[in-house]
Formats: sequence, C-alpha cells, structure tokens
Amino acid sequence: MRIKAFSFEAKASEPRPIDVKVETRVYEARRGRAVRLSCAERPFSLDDALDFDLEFSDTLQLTYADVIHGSFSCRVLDCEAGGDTIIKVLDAQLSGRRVRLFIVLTVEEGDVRRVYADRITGLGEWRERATKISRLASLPPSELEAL
Amino acid sequence: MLSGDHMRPPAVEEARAIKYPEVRDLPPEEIGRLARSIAPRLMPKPGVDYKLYLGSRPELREGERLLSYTLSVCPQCYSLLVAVIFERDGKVYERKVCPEHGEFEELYFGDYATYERFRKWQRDGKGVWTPNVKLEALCPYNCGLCPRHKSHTALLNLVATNRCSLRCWYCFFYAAKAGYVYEPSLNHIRFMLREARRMLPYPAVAVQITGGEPLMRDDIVDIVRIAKEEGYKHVQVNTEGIRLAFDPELAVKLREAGTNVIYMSFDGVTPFTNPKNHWEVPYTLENLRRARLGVVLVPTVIRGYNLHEVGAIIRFGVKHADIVRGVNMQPVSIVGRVPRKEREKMRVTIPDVLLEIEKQTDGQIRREDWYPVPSVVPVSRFIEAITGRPQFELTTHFACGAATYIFWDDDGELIPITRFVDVEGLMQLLEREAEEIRKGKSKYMAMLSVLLKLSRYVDVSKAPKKFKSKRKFLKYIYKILVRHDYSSLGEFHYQSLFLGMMHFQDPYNYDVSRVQRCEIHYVMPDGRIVPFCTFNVFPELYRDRAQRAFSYTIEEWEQLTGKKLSEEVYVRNIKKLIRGEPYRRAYEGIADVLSIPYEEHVKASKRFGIPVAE
Repeated sequence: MRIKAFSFEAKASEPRPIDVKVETRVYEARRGRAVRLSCAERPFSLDDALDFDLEFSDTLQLTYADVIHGSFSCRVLDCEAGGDTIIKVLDAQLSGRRVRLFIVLTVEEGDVRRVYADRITGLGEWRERATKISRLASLPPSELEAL
Repeated sequence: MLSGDHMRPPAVEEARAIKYPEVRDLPPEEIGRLARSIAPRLMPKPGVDYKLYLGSRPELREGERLLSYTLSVCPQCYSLLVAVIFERDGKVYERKVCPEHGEFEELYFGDYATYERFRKWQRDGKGVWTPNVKLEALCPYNCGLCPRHKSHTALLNLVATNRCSLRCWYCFFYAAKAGYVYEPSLNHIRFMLREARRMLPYPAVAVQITGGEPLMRDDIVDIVRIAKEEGYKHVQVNTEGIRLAFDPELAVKLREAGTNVIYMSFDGVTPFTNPKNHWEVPYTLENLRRARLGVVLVPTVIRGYNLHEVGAIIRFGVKHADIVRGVNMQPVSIVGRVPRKEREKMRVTIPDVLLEIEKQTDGQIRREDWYPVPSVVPVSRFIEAITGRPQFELTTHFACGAATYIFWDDDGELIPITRFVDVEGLMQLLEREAEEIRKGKSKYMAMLSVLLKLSRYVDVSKAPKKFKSKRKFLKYIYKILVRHDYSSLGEFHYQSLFLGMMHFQDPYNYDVSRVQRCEIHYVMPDGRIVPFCTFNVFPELYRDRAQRAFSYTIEEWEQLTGKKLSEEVYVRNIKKLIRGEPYRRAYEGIADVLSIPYEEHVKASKRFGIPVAE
C-alpha cells in the first residue's frame, strides 16, 4: 500500500504571517515496534494539492490556498507500507515554535482510513494524546516518545 | 447583491431530487437522514461545473507592487485560477487570467493604507472540528463546511422561503422567477438548525431567518420560536419590512417569540435611492418602536447610486436610535456577467465607503475610527483564557468587514468610541494578558491586572456627556470582559449606534482566503453549511441546486396552501403613505422628501419594479 506524506517549507505575509517548516517521518507498527518506512521523494505537483489539504487542513490548519500566498517548497514522500497501522510524525516549526504532531492511519482491505490526527488548535496534554495514539497505533507510549 | 444575467443553464443535478410534499411532514431526524443521503449528489462536479487552471501566476506590470498571490475563480466559467493581489497608485487590485475567457482585473480594496492597517489585525480561528463533508475537491468547490474552514459560524442564515411580494428588477431569486417554491417545513427547519448547533469547537448561537421575504410565511413566528428552542441566543429576521409597516401585531409576536432584532434593507433616505421601502420604513419603525423590537438598517452601497447618502443614512440611524441598533453597510457585490466599464461605475469597496462617511459627516467619523472585524478577537481570547472554554470569536478575513461604535451629544455631534477609548491599546493589553495566562499566570492576577489598567485606556474628558462618569463606562467594560455578561453588551448597544460594513465577494474580486475565513454561513436544506460567498457567488452550484432539490412545483405549493403565487405582488399606495405623519417625522431634518412631486415618487417606485395604486 502506498502512503503519501509531505515535508515542506512555506512563508507568506498575507492575510496572516506564515512561517512553517514541516518534516514528516512515516512509520509502520510491527509487533509493538515502530519501523520507519523508506520513502521515495518527488517534487510537489498540483495533483497533490487535495492530499496536502487532507493532511494539513486540520493538523496545522494550513491548506494549499494558504501556501500559495507566498513561497512554498515541498517534497512529496511516497512510502510503501506492508502493515495495517501507519503512524506519521510531523515535526513542525511554526514561527520558530517546535511542535510534534501525530497522525494514525489504518489499512483495511486496501482502504486507508485516518483514525487519528492531532490538531494544532486543540492540542491537549501529551499524556492524554499519547494514551489515545498508543491505543490506536498498538504501540506502547514509550515507543511513541522515542520516535 | 446585484445580479447580472445568469451565466449558466440549469444543470441536470438541479432537478428536484425528491417530491417535497411527500417528505415535508417527516420528523426532523428522518428529513435529516434523507437530506444527508442527497447532499453528495448535489456537490459541484469538477470538469462539469468548473475546471482547474492553476499552472501559472499572473505577471506584475510596471508600477505594480506584489502583495500576495491567492486562489480565485473565472467570473465566466468558475474555473479555479491563481490571482495576484497588488498595489497600484495607492489602491489594491486583483488580477487573474482564465485560459478560456481572458484577463480580469478588479479593484480589491480602495485604499492601500487602510489595507495595511487592517491586515495587522488578522487572527485566525480554530477551524471546524466537526466538518460535515469529506474533503474531495479544492476550495471553494467542497463547501459544507469542510475541514479547511478556519472560522466557526458567527451568524447562520436560514432561507425560510424564496417567495417575495416585490419584483425588484435585479433579482432572479424569487419563486415566480425561479419557477419553483422553496419553503422548508418546520420539521425540516428544525433539522437544519440542529446541524449548525452540532458544530465544534463552537456551535452556532446566532441565526438570521432570511428569504426571499421571510415575513411572507404565515408561520414565521413559529420559526423564531423553534430557533430559540434549539438554543439560538440571537435570532434576527432579515426583511424589507413592508409587512411590518402594516401589521403592528406581527412585530409584537416576533418579539415575544424571541426575535432579538430586525435586519432591514434601507438603501437611502430618498425615494430615488431607496425605492424598495422608502415609503414604508417610517411606519415599520413606528410599529417596531411600539413592539420594542430593535432594527438594524442595511444599506447596499453602490457608486453612482447611493454612495452620496451614506452620511445621511447614519444620521437617519442616529435620529431613530431609540429603535435603530445599528447601520450595517454592504458595498455592492456584483454577481453575474457585468462588463468591466459597468462594474467600474458601481464598484465601491470598504475604504471608499469609509472615506465618503468621513466627508459626509464633516470628519466626525474618520476612516481611522473603523477597525476590521477580527480586531475584537483579543476580547474572545482573553475570556477564553479566563474560562478555559472556546469562545465565540470573529475571525473573518480582514478585508471582509469593519466596524465602529458611535455616540452622540445633544448638539448632534457624533463621537466614535475611538475618541475616548484607546481600542488598540486595550486590545494589546488583553492579548498580552491572555498570553500570560497561557504561560501560567494566575487567572485572578490577570483579571486584576486588566481591571487596574483599564482606566488608562479610557479618556472620559473626550467622551459623550452620558459617559462623563468614568465609572459608568468602565462598569460596562468590566461586565463584558470579566463577567461575560451578554445583557451588558445589549445595554451598551442601547447607548450607542453600531456601525458596520460587510463587503460580500463576487466572482470578479473573489479570494479563496477570504471565503475560508467566512463566518456568515447558510444552512442548506441538505444539511450542508456553506459560507455566504459560495452560497451567493455560485448560486447555480450551491443555493439554487440545493433549494431546487427540496422544492415544490408552483402547482404543488398552490394546491397545498390554496394561494396563488401570481397574486402575491405588493402594490404600493404612495399617496396614502406620504400623507401620514410618521412619514413626515421620519425624514424630517434628514432629507426634504416633502418637496418631491408625487409623480416623481411614483416614477421611482415603478422604475424599481414595484407597482403603484393610483
């Protein structure tokens, strides 16, 4: 199963200042361990815009319509996954502030379902989030913290 | 909103999806299930309703300075395009190029300095955590609301009917012209209202019942009551006010049912600038006064038509301030195919109206007295930091709207709030304290700090006489900020006149970054919640398609109600209206309407499309 992810930088001044850098790593849960997937990289194309919105409109409250305001450089990661639970780790710098966000995907009969995504505007306590992510990703919290 | 020729023939999907008479009486939950099952079929279709042309950015020309790029649409085929926003000669423009229909350039904001001043107030909301459509297309062709949306619903619009007794020349929306009657049943309305109440992190709390003409419905009072039952704190009815001019009991019933305010079209102070309801407004105001039901005057401002009367409209509001709660001006939105030269004659943007207001009030209300809508976000963020709960916040795009409050002294001098309150300083204080709380400062210390510093931001020596007591004014601010007292806000309103400005978009100046931040939404009969500027800018893709799907044929409606649609035409008795004392009183000191010959009154009404009883 191919999983798409994005690493990008965007800067804009209108309508509000944006200064974002995101590095994404993609893992697969295997018997209680997170195994990092190897991903092929390619440049962003317009066909990726909708997937970009799917990934970041809730997590970072950022859309293609936002990044088009200024400079935007993006690498698309195409990752090959064999398991049925995928964890994306988004290391984001938002105007210098570092934040780590998680997305959990499950694969069932060829369908990828997003079962969890952190949301920058409603980020709760790490302990609470870790418990939830850990349960959904079938990974112990210690494994999450080590990612 | 001014509509030119409609651009497209109805698409196949616009056909009625169901036989509405057969489902109208279903319980709200069942109507909801049905509605949700139909909604996906009504979404805009890529390749059919629009195309994507995002491959290139328009170039800048000599004398133009880049401000930003954005997504926009082709006014002719709705294709999604990249647009450039730039400054030229002190004004802000938007330009885009459609490979099929060529270049479009439009005035975006009439004054660059105001644009910059407003821009720094931009604050984004927390998004919509409970989207009710899947993300399947780019913005603005995925509305519903989708996960991209950045602001919660501040005002929900619910179209109660597409019937109207007026036949205004520019309108294509009313039932007789549309060829069907859209009039959701009470159960259906309950479902729609519930949809918006489900929204997180902040559910809709304010609703506007609109139309068509909502007062055409005999059960309008029940609709207001249902809105209250469903938890809406603020209910307003958007009307041309004509029925209220002749039906004083209705005004009382509306207020008793829970209507907070009437939102009434009012385009000018003469028959020539306001042929829609110039003659009836004095009687409407009288009846609202008796019913103790407040009204907001809503002028659509058009260059070359009524721009020269914006000052007089404000004075009219002040004259009737016992019942007029605000004046909310709407620079014209040009929907439909209108040639550039024609658009330029009409086009007016927020800074243009602000400048005219400054001129027409002899500098009493200056451009600097206005702040963009998101400038009040620090108040919400401070209260949120104190309470720990998400708050109602106004996070629209800075170019969408502006507002101020004015007060007045007995000599008629208008005093904007900014003359005696340092708005900017106060907002900065609240923002700082909210940030301190987030970093761990005690909430009580932060509140105390605000209270102690509050008086630094108020200079009562410059305030109107009724606020010469510093304590009285500070008491209002204290109650609003610290006790979060909604009634204090209401009380504050009674002492002042709210002046607002909301520039709805059109396909010529369209900016997707504005629509993503929109807070004025419509709930559609299929349960989708759609920003104002997709609902009305792409009527064929949203408004008409959804409403037609849940409509009656005219025959069905006539059979159901025993009424004849063709007979629902308002005929104006000008002679009687201008003879009445309320008419003379209403405009006295504002405009010399009594010297206008009767024939000119009649001509103005007829030219607009409203027949006159002679």
